[in-house]
Amino acid sequence: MSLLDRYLNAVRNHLPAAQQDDIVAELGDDLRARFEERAAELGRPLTEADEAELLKPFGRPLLLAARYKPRQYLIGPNLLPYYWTTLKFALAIAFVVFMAISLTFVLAGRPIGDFFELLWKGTFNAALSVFTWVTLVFALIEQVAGRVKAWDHWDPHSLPRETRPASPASRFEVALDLVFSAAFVAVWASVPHSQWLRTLAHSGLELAPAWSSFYLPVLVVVLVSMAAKAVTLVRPDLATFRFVANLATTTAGLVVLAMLLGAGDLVVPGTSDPRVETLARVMNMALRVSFVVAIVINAVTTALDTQRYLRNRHVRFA
Amino acid sequence: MASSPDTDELFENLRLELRRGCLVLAVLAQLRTEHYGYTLRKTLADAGLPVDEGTLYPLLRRLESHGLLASEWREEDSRKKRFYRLSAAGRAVLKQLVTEWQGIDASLTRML
Repeated sequence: MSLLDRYLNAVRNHLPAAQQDDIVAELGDDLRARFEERAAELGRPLTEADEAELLKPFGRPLLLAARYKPRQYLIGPNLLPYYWTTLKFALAIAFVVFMAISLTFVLAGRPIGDFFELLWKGTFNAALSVFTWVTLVFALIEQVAGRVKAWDHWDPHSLPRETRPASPASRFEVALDLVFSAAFVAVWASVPHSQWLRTLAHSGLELAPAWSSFYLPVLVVVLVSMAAKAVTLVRPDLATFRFVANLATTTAGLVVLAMLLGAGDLVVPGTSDPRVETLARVMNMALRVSFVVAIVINAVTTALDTQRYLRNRHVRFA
Repeated sequence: MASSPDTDELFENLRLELRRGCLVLAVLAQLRTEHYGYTLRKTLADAGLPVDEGTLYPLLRRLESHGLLASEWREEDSRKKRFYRLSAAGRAVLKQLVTEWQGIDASLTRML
Protein backbone atom coordinates (compact mmCIF):
# COMPACT_ATOMS: atom_id res chain seq x y z
CA MET A 1 0.00 0.00 0.00
CA SER A 2 1.44 3.36 -1.06
CA LEU A 3 1.97 6.24 1.33
CA LEU A 4 -0.87 8.07 -0.41
CA ASP A 5 -3.30 5.21 0.22
CA ARG A 6 -2.21 5.00 3.84
CA TYR A 7 -2.78 8.74 4.22
CA LEU A 8 -6.24 8.58 2.64
CA ASN A 9 -7.17 5.61 4.84
CA ALA A 10 -6.08 7.52 7.92
CA VAL A 11 -8.17 10.55 6.86
CA ARG A 12 -11.14 8.25 6.16
CA ASN A 13 -11.03 6.91 9.73
CA HIS A 14 -11.71 10.39 11.12
CA LEU A 15 -14.54 11.31 8.74
CA PRO A 16 -18.29 10.87 9.29
CA ALA A 17 -19.29 7.48 7.80
CA ALA A 18 -21.80 9.00 5.36
CA GLN A 19 -19.18 11.23 3.73
CA GLN A 20 -16.11 9.00 3.83
CA ASP A 21 -16.23 7.65 0.26
CA ASP A 22 -17.13 10.98 -1.28
CA ILE A 23 -14.47 13.03 0.46
CA VAL A 24 -11.70 10.45 0.11
CA ALA A 25 -12.46 10.00 -3.62
CA GLU A 26 -12.25 13.75 -4.23
CA LEU A 27 -9.16 14.26 -2.09
CA GLY A 28 -7.49 11.18 -3.60
CA ASP A 29 -8.13 12.45 -7.13
CA ASP A 30 -6.55 15.80 -6.33
CA LEU A 31 -3.55 14.23 -4.62
CA ARG A 32 -2.99 11.77 -7.46
CA ALA A 33 -3.10 14.63 -9.97
CA ARG A 34 -0.56 16.47 -7.87
CA PHE A 35 1.66 13.38 -7.62
CA GLU A 36 1.51 12.89 -11.41
CA GLU A 37 2.40 16.53 -11.95
CA ARG A 38 5.39 16.22 -9.64
CA ALA A 39 6.53 12.96 -11.29
CA ALA A 40 6.37 14.70 -14.68
CA GLU A 41 8.49 17.56 -13.31
CA LEU A 42 11.10 15.14 -11.96
CA GLY A 43 10.96 12.90 -15.05
CA ARG A 44 10.79 9.70 -12.94
CA PRO A 45 8.34 7.83 -10.70
CA LEU A 46 8.00 9.29 -7.22
CA THR A 47 9.86 7.63 -4.37
CA GLU A 48 8.27 7.24 -0.95
CA ALA A 49 10.34 10.22 0.22
CA ASP A 50 8.87 12.34 -2.61
CA GLU A 51 5.36 11.29 -1.62
CA ALA A 52 6.05 12.10 2.01
CA GLU A 53 7.30 15.54 1.03
CA LEU A 54 4.12 16.20 -0.94
CA LEU A 55 1.83 14.89 1.81
CA LYS A 56 3.44 16.71 4.72
CA PRO A 57 1.90 20.15 4.00
CA PHE A 58 -1.58 18.58 4.17
CA GLY A 59 -1.10 18.09 7.89
CA ARG A 60 -2.09 15.25 10.16
CA PRO A 61 -5.03 13.16 8.90
CA LEU A 62 -6.97 13.99 12.08
CA LEU A 63 -6.66 17.75 11.45
CA LEU A 64 -7.47 17.51 7.76
CA ALA A 65 -10.57 15.42 8.49
CA ALA A 66 -11.64 17.85 11.22
CA ARG A 67 -11.86 20.66 8.65
CA TYR A 68 -14.69 18.81 6.95
CA LYS A 69 -16.75 18.84 10.10
CA PRO A 70 -19.35 21.59 10.40
CA ARG A 71 -18.12 22.75 13.81
CA GLN A 72 -14.51 23.24 14.88
CA TYR A 73 -15.30 24.05 18.49
CA LEU A 74 -17.22 22.75 21.49
CA ILE A 75 -18.52 26.16 22.57
CA GLY A 76 -18.50 28.93 19.98
CA PRO A 77 -17.75 32.64 20.29
CA ASN A 78 -21.45 33.56 20.71
CA LEU A 79 -21.78 31.45 23.84
CA LEU A 80 -18.26 31.59 25.27
CA PRO A 81 -18.69 34.83 27.32
CA TYR A 82 -21.89 33.42 28.90
CA TYR A 83 -20.12 30.12 29.52
CA TRP A 84 -17.19 31.72 31.38
CA THR A 85 -19.47 33.94 33.48
CA THR A 86 -21.72 31.01 34.41
CA LEU A 87 -18.73 28.79 35.21
CA LYS A 88 -17.09 31.39 37.47
CA PHE A 89 -20.37 32.08 39.27
CA ALA A 90 -21.16 28.37 39.74
CA LEU A 91 -17.62 27.66 41.01
CA ALA A 92 -17.85 30.52 43.52
CA ILE A 93 -21.21 29.21 44.77
CA ALA A 94 -19.77 25.68 45.09
CA PHE A 95 -16.85 27.02 47.13
CA VAL A 96 -19.07 29.01 49.50
CA VAL A 97 -21.44 26.05 49.95
CA PHE A 98 -18.59 23.68 50.80
CA MET A 99 -17.02 26.24 53.10
CA ALA A 100 -20.35 26.45 54.98
CA ILE A 101 -20.78 22.65 55.05
CA SER A 102 -17.21 22.13 56.30
CA LEU A 103 -17.65 24.72 59.04
CA THR A 104 -20.93 23.15 60.09
CA PHE A 105 -19.18 19.79 60.48
CA VAL A 106 -16.52 21.38 62.67
CA LEU A 107 -19.23 23.09 64.72
CA ALA A 108 -20.81 19.70 65.18
CA GLY A 109 -17.61 18.56 66.87
CA ARG A 110 -15.57 17.03 64.03
CA PRO A 111 -11.78 17.59 64.30
CA ILE A 112 -10.21 20.57 62.49
CA GLY A 113 -8.30 18.21 60.16
CA ASP A 114 -11.67 17.12 58.79
CA PHE A 115 -12.48 20.76 58.01
CA PHE A 116 -9.54 21.16 55.63
CA GLU A 117 -9.99 17.68 54.14
CA LEU A 118 -13.69 18.22 53.57
CA LEU A 119 -13.14 21.71 52.20
CA TRP A 120 -10.39 20.60 49.81
CA LYS A 121 -11.96 17.34 48.64
CA GLY A 122 -15.52 18.68 48.59
CA THR A 123 -14.58 21.83 46.71
CA PHE A 124 -12.42 19.91 44.24
CA ASN A 125 -15.13 17.34 43.50
CA ALA A 126 -17.81 20.02 43.31
CA ALA A 127 -15.61 22.12 40.98
CA LEU A 128 -15.13 19.11 38.74
CA SER A 129 -18.88 18.41 38.64
CA VAL A 130 -19.71 22.08 38.07
CA PHE A 131 -17.17 22.30 35.25
CA THR A 132 -18.49 19.10 33.63
CA TRP A 133 -22.16 20.04 33.83
CA VAL A 134 -21.79 23.66 32.80
CA THR A 135 -19.59 22.62 29.86
CA LEU A 136 -22.01 19.88 28.83
CA VAL A 137 -25.04 22.17 28.95
CA PHE A 138 -23.30 24.89 26.92
CA ALA A 139 -21.93 22.36 24.42
CA LEU A 140 -25.49 21.06 24.01
CA ILE A 141 -26.84 24.59 23.45
CA GLU A 142 -24.05 25.14 20.90
CA GLN A 143 -24.91 21.88 19.16
CA VAL A 144 -28.64 22.56 19.03
CA ALA A 145 -28.88 26.30 18.50
CA GLY A 146 -25.43 27.93 18.33
CA ARG A 147 -26.76 30.81 20.42
CA VAL A 148 -29.63 31.75 22.74
CA LYS A 149 -31.50 34.54 20.99
CA ALA A 150 -33.16 35.69 24.23
CA TRP A 151 -29.69 36.51 25.61
CA ASP A 152 -29.02 38.91 22.73
CA HIS A 153 -31.76 41.25 23.94
CA TRP A 154 -30.62 43.64 26.62
CA ASP A 155 -31.61 46.97 28.07
CA PRO A 156 -28.93 49.66 28.32
CA HIS A 157 -30.80 50.99 31.37
CA SER A 158 -29.72 47.87 33.23
CA LEU A 159 -26.07 48.98 33.11
CA PRO A 160 -24.48 49.71 36.50
CA ARG A 161 -24.79 53.39 37.39
CA GLU A 162 -21.11 53.82 38.14
CA THR A 163 -17.86 51.93 38.17
CA ARG A 164 -16.11 52.78 41.37
CA PRO A 165 -12.37 52.98 40.90
CA ALA A 166 -10.23 52.03 43.87
CA SER A 167 -10.09 55.24 45.87
CA PRO A 168 -7.18 56.23 48.09
CA ALA A 169 -7.56 54.99 51.67
CA SER A 170 -8.94 57.46 54.19
CA ARG A 171 -6.07 58.47 56.50
CA PHE A 172 -8.52 59.05 59.36
CA GLU A 173 -9.96 55.54 59.06
CA VAL A 174 -6.51 53.98 58.85
CA ALA A 175 -5.33 55.95 61.90
CA LEU A 176 -8.42 54.92 63.88
CA ASP A 177 -7.83 51.32 62.84
CA LEU A 178 -4.22 51.58 64.04
CA VAL A 179 -5.30 52.93 67.44
CA PHE A 180 -7.76 50.06 67.97
CA SER A 181 -5.20 47.51 66.77
CA ALA A 182 -2.60 48.94 69.17
CA ALA A 183 -5.08 48.71 72.05
CA PHE A 184 -5.84 45.10 71.12
CA VAL A 185 -2.12 44.26 70.99
CA ALA A 186 -1.61 45.82 74.42
CA VAL A 187 -4.40 43.70 75.92
CA TRP A 188 -3.43 40.57 74.00
CA ALA A 189 0.24 40.78 74.94
CA SER A 190 -0.63 41.08 78.60
CA VAL A 191 -2.95 38.04 78.69
CA PRO A 192 -0.18 35.52 79.57
CA HIS A 193 0.94 37.74 82.48
CA SER A 194 -2.43 38.88 83.77
CA GLN A 195 -4.37 36.66 86.14
CA TRP A 196 -7.29 39.09 85.86
CA LEU A 197 -7.51 38.66 82.10
CA ARG A 198 -6.96 34.90 82.17
CA THR A 199 -9.77 34.48 84.69
CA LEU A 200 -11.97 36.83 82.66
CA ALA A 201 -12.14 39.41 85.44
CA HIS A 202 -12.54 36.70 88.12
CA SER A 203 -15.86 35.67 86.60
CA GLY A 204 -15.42 32.04 87.56
CA LEU A 205 -14.45 31.24 83.99
CA GLU A 206 -10.91 30.81 82.73
CA LEU A 207 -9.22 30.85 79.36
CA ALA A 208 -8.49 27.25 78.35
CA PRO A 209 -4.84 26.12 77.99
CA ALA A 210 -5.53 25.81 74.21
CA TRP A 211 -5.16 29.60 73.97
CA SER A 212 -1.45 29.42 74.75
CA SER A 213 -0.62 28.19 71.24
CA PHE A 214 -2.52 31.10 69.68
CA TYR A 215 -0.92 34.04 71.50
CA LEU A 216 2.02 34.33 69.13
CA PRO A 217 0.22 33.68 65.76
CA VAL A 218 -2.50 36.22 66.57
CA LEU A 219 0.09 38.76 67.72
CA VAL A 220 2.14 38.31 64.52
CA VAL A 221 -0.91 38.65 62.25
CA VAL A 222 -2.06 41.82 64.00
CA LEU A 223 1.45 43.35 64.07
CA VAL A 224 1.97 42.64 60.35
CA SER A 225 -1.42 44.14 59.64
CA MET A 226 -0.46 47.23 61.72
CA ALA A 227 2.79 47.59 59.79
CA ALA A 228 0.84 47.52 56.50
CA LYS A 229 -1.59 50.11 57.87
CA ALA A 230 1.33 52.32 58.90
CA VAL A 231 2.59 52.22 55.30
CA THR A 232 -0.93 53.01 54.07
CA LEU A 233 -1.08 55.97 56.46
CA VAL A 234 1.98 57.45 54.74
CA ARG A 235 1.05 56.38 51.19
CA PRO A 236 -2.75 55.97 50.99
CA ASP A 237 -2.51 55.94 47.19
CA LEU A 238 -0.74 52.55 47.01
CA ALA A 239 -3.82 50.52 46.06
CA THR A 240 -1.91 47.40 45.02
CA PHE A 241 0.15 47.33 48.20
CA ARG A 242 -3.01 47.84 50.25
CA PHE A 243 -4.77 45.03 48.40
CA VAL A 244 -1.89 42.54 48.68
CA ALA A 245 -1.22 43.33 52.36
CA ASN A 246 -4.92 43.05 53.17
CA LEU A 247 -5.20 39.77 51.27
CA ALA A 248 -2.18 38.31 53.06
CA THR A 249 -3.24 39.33 56.56
CA THR A 250 -6.87 38.35 56.03
CA THR A 251 -5.82 34.93 54.73
CA ALA A 252 -3.52 34.44 57.71
CA GLY A 253 -6.37 35.59 59.97
CA LEU A 254 -8.73 33.08 58.37
CA VAL A 255 -6.27 30.26 59.01
CA VAL A 256 -5.92 31.29 62.69
CA LEU A 257 -9.71 31.53 63.03
CA ALA A 258 -10.15 28.08 61.48
CA MET A 259 -7.57 26.66 63.89
CA LEU A 260 -9.30 28.33 66.84
CA LEU A 261 -12.53 26.77 65.66
CA GLY A 262 -10.97 23.34 65.82
CA ALA A 263 -9.17 23.90 69.13
CA GLY A 264 -12.02 22.62 71.27
CA ASP A 265 -13.24 24.50 74.34
CA LEU A 266 -11.59 27.88 74.70
CA VAL A 267 -13.24 28.78 78.01
CA VAL A 268 -13.31 26.42 80.97
CA PRO A 269 -15.07 26.73 84.32
CA GLY A 270 -12.79 27.75 87.19
CA THR A 271 -15.12 26.17 89.76
CA SER A 272 -17.40 23.14 89.92
CA ASP A 273 -20.44 25.38 90.18
CA PRO A 274 -23.06 23.98 87.69
CA ARG A 275 -24.09 27.52 86.74
CA VAL A 276 -20.50 28.36 85.78
CA GLU A 277 -20.25 25.12 83.81
CA THR A 278 -23.41 26.01 81.91
CA LEU A 279 -22.05 29.51 81.31
CA ALA A 280 -18.81 27.98 79.95
CA ARG A 281 -20.76 25.76 77.53
CA VAL A 282 -22.79 28.74 76.30
CA MET A 283 -19.63 30.86 75.94
CA ASN A 284 -17.87 28.14 73.94
CA MET A 285 -20.83 27.73 71.60
CA ALA A 286 -21.06 31.54 71.20
CA LEU A 287 -17.33 31.69 70.41
CA ARG A 288 -17.64 28.95 67.78
CA VAL A 289 -20.62 30.62 66.13
CA SER A 290 -18.83 33.98 66.13
CA PHE A 291 -15.72 32.37 64.58
CA VAL A 292 -17.86 30.79 61.83
CA VAL A 293 -19.58 34.12 61.14
CA ALA A 294 -16.20 35.90 61.09
CA ILE A 295 -14.73 33.31 58.70
CA VAL A 296 -17.67 33.50 56.29
CA ILE A 297 -17.81 37.32 56.33
CA ASN A 298 -14.04 37.65 55.89
CA ALA A 299 -13.93 35.05 53.10
CA VAL A 300 -16.79 36.67 51.18
CA THR A 301 -15.44 40.22 51.73
CA THR A 302 -11.97 39.17 50.59
CA ALA A 303 -13.39 37.45 47.50
CA LEU A 304 -15.42 40.57 46.62
CA ASP A 305 -12.42 42.86 47.28
CA THR A 306 -10.26 40.67 45.05
CA GLN A 307 -12.84 40.72 42.27
CA ARG A 308 -13.22 44.52 42.57
CA TYR A 309 -9.45 45.03 42.61
CA LEU A 310 -8.91 42.83 39.54
CA ARG A 311 -11.75 44.55 37.68
CA ASN A 312 -10.57 48.08 38.51
CA ARG A 313 -6.81 47.61 38.55
CA HIS A 314 -6.49 49.48 35.25
CA VAL A 315 -8.56 52.46 36.54
CA ARG A 316 -6.39 55.27 37.81
CA PHE A 317 -7.35 57.45 40.71
CA ALA A 318 -9.58 60.33 39.81
CA MET B 1 12.87 48.12 12.77
CA ALA B 2 13.47 44.36 12.40
CA SER B 3 10.40 42.17 12.89
CA SER B 4 10.42 39.75 15.80
CA PRO B 5 9.10 36.17 15.66
CA ASP B 6 6.05 37.42 17.57
CA THR B 7 5.22 40.10 15.02
CA ASP B 8 5.90 37.65 12.19
CA GLU B 9 3.41 35.24 13.72
CA LEU B 10 0.93 38.03 14.35
CA PHE B 11 1.26 39.20 10.75
CA GLU B 12 0.75 35.64 9.49
CA ASN B 13 -2.42 35.26 11.58
CA LEU B 14 -3.78 38.61 10.41
CA ARG B 15 -2.90 37.78 6.81
CA LEU B 16 -4.73 34.45 7.01
CA GLU B 17 -7.73 36.14 8.61
CA LEU B 18 -7.79 38.76 5.85
CA ARG B 19 -7.55 36.12 3.12
CA ARG B 20 -10.15 33.82 4.65
CA GLY B 21 -13.07 36.13 3.88
CA CYS B 22 -11.71 37.01 0.44
CA LEU B 23 -11.30 33.33 -0.42
CA VAL B 24 -15.06 32.67 -0.30
CA LEU B 25 -15.61 35.51 -2.74
CA ALA B 26 -12.83 34.27 -5.02
CA VAL B 27 -14.13 30.68 -5.02
CA LEU B 28 -17.70 31.77 -5.75
CA ALA B 29 -16.47 34.05 -8.55
CA GLN B 30 -14.35 31.33 -10.14
CA LEU B 31 -17.22 28.86 -10.00
CA ARG B 32 -19.31 30.93 -12.37
CA THR B 33 -17.47 28.52 -14.67
CA GLU B 34 -17.59 24.84 -13.76
CA HIS B 35 -14.45 23.42 -12.16
CA TYR B 36 -13.34 20.38 -10.24
CA GLY B 37 -11.14 20.84 -7.19
CA TYR B 38 -7.76 20.50 -8.82
CA THR B 39 -8.41 22.92 -11.69
CA LEU B 40 -10.10 25.37 -9.33
CA ARG B 41 -7.04 25.37 -7.10
CA LYS B 42 -4.76 25.88 -10.11
CA THR B 43 -6.94 28.72 -11.41
CA LEU B 44 -6.90 30.43 -8.03
CA ALA B 45 -3.13 29.99 -7.72
CA ASP B 46 -2.56 31.34 -11.24
CA ALA B 47 -4.72 34.35 -10.31
CA GLY B 48 -2.48 35.00 -7.28
CA LEU B 49 -4.59 33.34 -4.59
CA PRO B 50 -2.90 30.03 -3.76
CA VAL B 51 -4.92 27.86 -1.41
CA ASP B 52 -4.15 24.45 0.01
CA GLU B 53 -6.45 21.48 -0.45
CA GLY B 54 -7.07 21.20 3.27
CA THR B 55 -8.77 24.59 3.12
CA LEU B 56 -10.34 24.49 -0.33
CA TYR B 57 -12.23 21.19 -0.23
CA PRO B 58 -13.89 21.70 3.17
CA LEU B 59 -14.84 25.22 1.99
CA LEU B 60 -16.43 23.79 -1.17
CA ARG B 61 -18.41 21.33 0.96
CA ARG B 62 -19.54 24.08 3.29
CA LEU B 63 -20.66 26.33 0.44
CA GLU B 64 -22.48 23.43 -1.14
CA SER B 65 -24.21 22.53 2.13
CA HIS B 66 -25.44 26.15 2.28
CA GLY B 67 -26.89 25.75 -1.21
CA LEU B 68 -24.51 28.19 -2.88
CA LEU B 69 -22.84 25.52 -5.02
CA ALA B 70 -24.07 22.50 -6.93
CA SER B 71 -21.86 19.53 -7.68
CA GLU B 72 -21.85 16.30 -9.60
CA TRP B 73 -19.46 13.40 -10.15
CA ARG B 74 -18.43 12.91 -13.80
CA GLU B 75 -15.72 11.02 -15.56
CA GLU B 76 -13.02 13.01 -17.31
CA ASP B 77 -9.72 11.68 -18.66
CA SER B 78 -10.81 8.22 -17.46
CA ARG B 79 -10.98 9.48 -13.91
CA LYS B 80 -14.04 10.32 -11.83
CA LYS B 81 -14.07 13.95 -10.70
CA ARG B 82 -16.45 16.07 -8.73
CA PHE B 83 -17.41 19.20 -10.64
CA TYR B 84 -18.67 22.30 -8.85
CA ARG B 85 -20.58 25.27 -10.19
CA LEU B 86 -22.47 28.21 -8.77
CA SER B 87 -26.14 27.54 -7.97
CA ALA B 88 -28.91 30.11 -8.49
CA ALA B 89 -28.71 31.01 -4.79
CA GLY B 90 -24.92 31.22 -5.12
CA ARG B 91 -25.22 33.68 -8.00
CA ALA B 92 -27.51 35.92 -5.94
CA VAL B 93 -25.19 35.82 -2.93
CA LEU B 94 -22.15 36.41 -5.13
CA LYS B 95 -23.80 39.52 -6.57
CA GLN B 96 -24.39 40.87 -3.05
CA LEU B 97 -20.88 39.99 -1.96
CA VAL B 98 -19.35 41.68 -5.01
CA THR B 99 -21.26 44.89 -4.20
CA GLU B 100 -20.07 44.65 -0.59
CA TRP B 101 -16.50 43.99 -1.71
CA GLN B 102 -16.53 46.96 -4.08
CA GLY B 103 -17.73 49.17 -1.23
CA ILE B 104 -14.97 47.92 1.09
CA ASP B 105 -12.39 48.23 -1.66
CA ALA B 106 -13.40 51.83 -2.40
CA SER B 107 -13.36 52.76 1.29
CA LEU B 108 -10.00 51.13 1.93
CA THR B 109 -8.48 52.66 -1.20
CA ARG B 110 -9.48 56.09 0.10
CA MET B 111 -8.06 55.32 3.55
CA LEU B 112 -4.85 53.65 2.50
